Amino acid sequence: MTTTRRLVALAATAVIPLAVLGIFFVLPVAGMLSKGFWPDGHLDLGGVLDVLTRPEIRRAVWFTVWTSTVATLLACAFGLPAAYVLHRVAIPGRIWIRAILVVPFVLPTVVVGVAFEILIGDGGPLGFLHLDGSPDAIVAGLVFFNAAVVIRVVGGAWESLDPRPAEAAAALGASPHQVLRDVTLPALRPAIVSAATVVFLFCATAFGIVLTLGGLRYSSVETQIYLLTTDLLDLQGAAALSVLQLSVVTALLLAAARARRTPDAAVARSHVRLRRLTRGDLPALAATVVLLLLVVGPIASLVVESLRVDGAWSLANYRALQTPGSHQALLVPVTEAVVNSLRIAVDATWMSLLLGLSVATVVTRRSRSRSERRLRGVLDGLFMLPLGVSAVTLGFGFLITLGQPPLDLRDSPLLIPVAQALVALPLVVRVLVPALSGIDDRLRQAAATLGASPTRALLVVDLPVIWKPLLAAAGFAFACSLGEFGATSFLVRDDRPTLPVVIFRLIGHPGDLNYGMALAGSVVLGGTTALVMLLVERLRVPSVGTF
Amino acid sequence: MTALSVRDLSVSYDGTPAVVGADLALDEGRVLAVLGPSGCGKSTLLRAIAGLESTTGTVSWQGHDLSATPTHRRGFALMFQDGQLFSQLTVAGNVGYPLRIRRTPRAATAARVTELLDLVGLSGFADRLPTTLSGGERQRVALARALAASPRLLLLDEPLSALDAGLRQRLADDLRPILVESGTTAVMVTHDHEEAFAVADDLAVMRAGRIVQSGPIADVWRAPVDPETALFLGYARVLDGPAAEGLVEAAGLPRAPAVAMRRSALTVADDGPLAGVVVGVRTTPGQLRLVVDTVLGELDAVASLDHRLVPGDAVHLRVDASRMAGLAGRSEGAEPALD
Repeated sequence: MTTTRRLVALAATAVIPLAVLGIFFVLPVAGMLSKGFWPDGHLDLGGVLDVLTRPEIRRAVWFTVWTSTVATLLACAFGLPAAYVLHRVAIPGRIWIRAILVVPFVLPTVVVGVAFEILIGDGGPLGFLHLDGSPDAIVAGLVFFNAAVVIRVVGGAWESLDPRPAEAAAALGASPHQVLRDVTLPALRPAIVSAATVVFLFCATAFGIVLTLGGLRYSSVETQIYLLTTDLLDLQGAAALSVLQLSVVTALLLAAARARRTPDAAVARSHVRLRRLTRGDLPALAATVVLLLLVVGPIASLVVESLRVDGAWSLANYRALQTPGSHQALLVPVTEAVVNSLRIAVDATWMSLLLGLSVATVVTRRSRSRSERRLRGVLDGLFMLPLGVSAVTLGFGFLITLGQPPLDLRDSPLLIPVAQALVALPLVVRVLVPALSGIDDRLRQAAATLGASPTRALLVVDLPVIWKPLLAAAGFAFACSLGEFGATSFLVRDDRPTLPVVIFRLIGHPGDLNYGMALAGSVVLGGTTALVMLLVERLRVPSVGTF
Repeated sequence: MTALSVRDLSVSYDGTPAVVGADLALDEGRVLAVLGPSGCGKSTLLRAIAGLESTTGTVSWQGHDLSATPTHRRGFALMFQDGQLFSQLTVAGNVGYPLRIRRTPRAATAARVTELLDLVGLSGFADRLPTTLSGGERQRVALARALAASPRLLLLDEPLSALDAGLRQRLADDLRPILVESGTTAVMVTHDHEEAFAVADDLAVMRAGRIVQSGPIADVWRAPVDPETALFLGYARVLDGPAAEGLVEAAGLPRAPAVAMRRSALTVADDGPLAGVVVGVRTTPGQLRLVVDTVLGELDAVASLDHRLVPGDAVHLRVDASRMAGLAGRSEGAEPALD
């Protein structure tokens, strides 16, 4: 095939995901931005720049930068030792601890916000620390979520790290400390940089956790966008912030790709025997225990609190989920929201799988020319963008561009699933790409020379390798969709709400019953996503959660 | 005096024994080759001596038990099969690494690196990166780096087996003078008997996790403990029964139930005592390899290239006792080595 024809074939495979991305991502985001840049039909750049000089905006930017930086450093400080302990040292219950530490990654932000409130709020087990409403609580929440990313990404790399260079250094007289500094950390550098970048990205665009823990006193760029759009209707300000966020995110993604250099962890990995626990591992073990407490503490207090009514143990909060709450909190019972959530999650899952599979196929096929390779690289980066674009921007963009002819989708039952599928898409792609790129193209060629048709080759060569990652990706997409809050909160209709939206609304309404129901709803939501994650973890797909 | 002493050393992986009750003793300044087929546990034995495996039994140096000493304090440098150079460091950076972690002054480090690169024949390579080197050059750098640690014991794990044949021969010949010149006590693991003969003073033969024979290399060579060992040491064939008796008698050796022989133990000579008929001829660059039908059965023999022999020719064979070894054990199912 000529280069041109190959490029055409490539474009053909990419056309569906590109169309979806164009209509449901680029168009809404562009629509949102144009509202800000062309407020009265003509370009107003000065006004946009003026926004960035406002004191509250500058405060939000500064707040975002420092909380994200500190949270990233802490997530690495605790996540790296934990990654080592859980992937290289033989300790009892290793698999379970690993699963528990990874669960927060997909836990709905609303649930985590509620859990932290209970733990550190007045009268909570840690109320005496007076962390409630402080930036420290927000940082702790961010670390809670993102240590999982560090553990997965760096742990995966550490697990398959060839032990011999380290042994060579030890045999030359290097102490364990020197081995770590001179051999192990340099070898892990791409994974660490990649993990830190993604963590910073997640921290900087975190929405639910900052909104629930920061309240009105502290706002980040993301929550500021939300406030500007919904409460103040200042679209110019929101657009300016969105552009700022989008450019920083793009720059970070590019930097991560550059720092990564080495390709995604491929399927072929060296198998390393675990070491026995020694005294030298104690600091790392201590860090793991601290992290475990940070993860288990809020979740445990949430579960306990949801089972307490008027100082006694009771299931009343759970029984109340069949009602719409007190003080007209909701239009429908919470159980109906649960059903809605599940139905939407199923739709979002198949959509993101379909999109993710075609994107991953396009990105991993072997390139024959430089321009082809570059094109695939650009596509790869393009589909990562939803990872960093404010879900709020996306949700609001949906509202203003897809709510009128020619694309009036506001009442379509597929609108929310599409938005959630796009949010989950980068995760799905990153789970599938390493698996697909690990398949040697020559295996398909060998199958072809033995007389297998392309379909047959797909069944024989690709399917056995891809089915586990595909299931894992489905689990990820399902869990992400269940917990998605930022975009959904814009698109959801009050008579057809999802569970996270219902929980957020219940917290905002007065009344003990509403609060209790919010707790019970959080446990149900958190429990479901955790269950899905544990099942994914059981699949033992090595590259789940690598970026 | 005995420097390295290994007593009843065993290693097992998840219950599968890899090394069983190994005993070794090595005097200071000597080179020991551990020879065995792949998978016999010889690399594990080496790693256990370096302190990289959990073991039972003892490893001691000049009488001091090292069981509780971690790898980096043993003063044993281990050179890996594939060198394991640090790819982010230059050649000089790699060779100087053991000196830097010992906080050697910079000038002294630089001087020592230059000296070591000279020793391994890589002067002028200091600023190259490992990825730009050939396999042989990389192994030389790994050797220089191991020597830079001034180890009291150098452990070499198949240092040459990753190289192609010609290069392996050259490096094997270089290795011995380098070790002798630097006065290094060393243990080298290999599956190639030629390599062991080129480099070592002492030899330990290992099979299925056990050391079956050890001693000065000439002693082991002269008296292999059993047919398998003989074949592994490079003897071409082991004979037993009447054929062995007849040959031992013809060679004037003491009686033995079996005899290991090199191909060149029988040479074509007009005054030879053993008569036979050529049944197979193969020409090699140095000699003719024959199969000769004799009263003792079919035997391997060689002839110089100026003999023009074809199957059917009658020949006389001379028996060279120095190329044969009597064996105490009987050969059981021993296959001829692929010489």
